[in-house]
Amino acid sequence: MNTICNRINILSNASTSHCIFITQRFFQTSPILNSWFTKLTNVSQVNTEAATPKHTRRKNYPLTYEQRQFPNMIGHTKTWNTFNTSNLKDGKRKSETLTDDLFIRQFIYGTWHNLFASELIIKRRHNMIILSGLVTRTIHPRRMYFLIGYTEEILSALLKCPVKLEIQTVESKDDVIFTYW
Amino acid sequence: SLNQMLHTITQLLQPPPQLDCQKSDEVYEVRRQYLKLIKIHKNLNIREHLNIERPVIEKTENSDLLYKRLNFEIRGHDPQVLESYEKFIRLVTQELQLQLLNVETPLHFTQKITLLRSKFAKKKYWRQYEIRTYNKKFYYQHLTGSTADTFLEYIQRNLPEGIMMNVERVRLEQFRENLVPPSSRNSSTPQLQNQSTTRD
Repeated sequence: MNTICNRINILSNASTSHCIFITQRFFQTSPILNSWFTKLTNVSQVNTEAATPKHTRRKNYPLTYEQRQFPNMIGHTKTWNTFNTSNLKDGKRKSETLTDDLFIRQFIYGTWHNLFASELIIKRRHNMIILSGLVTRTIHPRRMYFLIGYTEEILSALLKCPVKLEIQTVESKDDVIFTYW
Repeated sequence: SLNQMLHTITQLLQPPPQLDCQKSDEVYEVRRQYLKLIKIHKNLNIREHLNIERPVIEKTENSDLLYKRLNFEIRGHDPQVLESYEKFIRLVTQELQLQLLNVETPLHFTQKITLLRSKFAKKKYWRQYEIRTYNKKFYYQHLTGSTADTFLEYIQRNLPEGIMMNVERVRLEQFRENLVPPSSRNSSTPQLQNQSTTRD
């Protein structure tokens, strides 16, 4: 399961006798796997499916529209996050594109600190790689322009092909929440 | 009378009119009839009887290549994307006035994998996954080299992501003068009898 960050909001009323604690969960778009052993032995982790969360008691686990479409809907109401020809019949360069995709996702997760509000979408047209996604407007636009140029330059130098970022901005991560699970 | 019949047959074998590519059943029927007539024409050996000379086409230097056929096949994971790309290609053929014979949508190809359903143990329960590739085939005829190159470049620049294209071309070459058509059945062939047959 994704790692959960719990944040506690402290609301105080006019009469300072009581305080109300509210736990709010934030979702993470790029999961980092840890504690593989508990997933094999712990009862709560054994009967789990990939990318299909279980209902929580308080129903406060936020899901985006993409996350609400579980993997059985791929091909029906859900598409993939990468578009390439490697998995077609007589498709070339299967493993290289996969490793490049994993590297790109981890690179952008690390450079854009908690800014992406959606999964990265990687498109390959001829020689080019085009990355797109939703980004929150927490940082100054001047810094964002620098980040765009920096990622394009470094990724095109590493992957030896032109890389372009086509991102759209969103006010905050709350705008992307679809339901609570 | 025989000459008249042969003349009528040569007149019938004029190239057929430009057919609407959307009516694929009519196109198929007309092509079948045309091919039947061509077979009859070959068996009759009209050119010998009427003493018609083979037409000589003078090929100048730096002249354009001629393509009898241009076929390309498109593959992708999403059938709706392929349909929208087909619409785009039909518009381009209308604009450039190319001869699109036929558009085929053969059955999709599936690659199936069976894997265990759970992470650990439980060998009794499996799951099947499949990867589908959808196809479309386009058939063109009678293009010149420059038109084919420009047409393909324009189409390939607008290829959407996740779609691959395979192109086949059939080129027309000049007929070689040293090759002579075989003689009719009645006449003998003494040259073949003298040759010794050797098996490789």
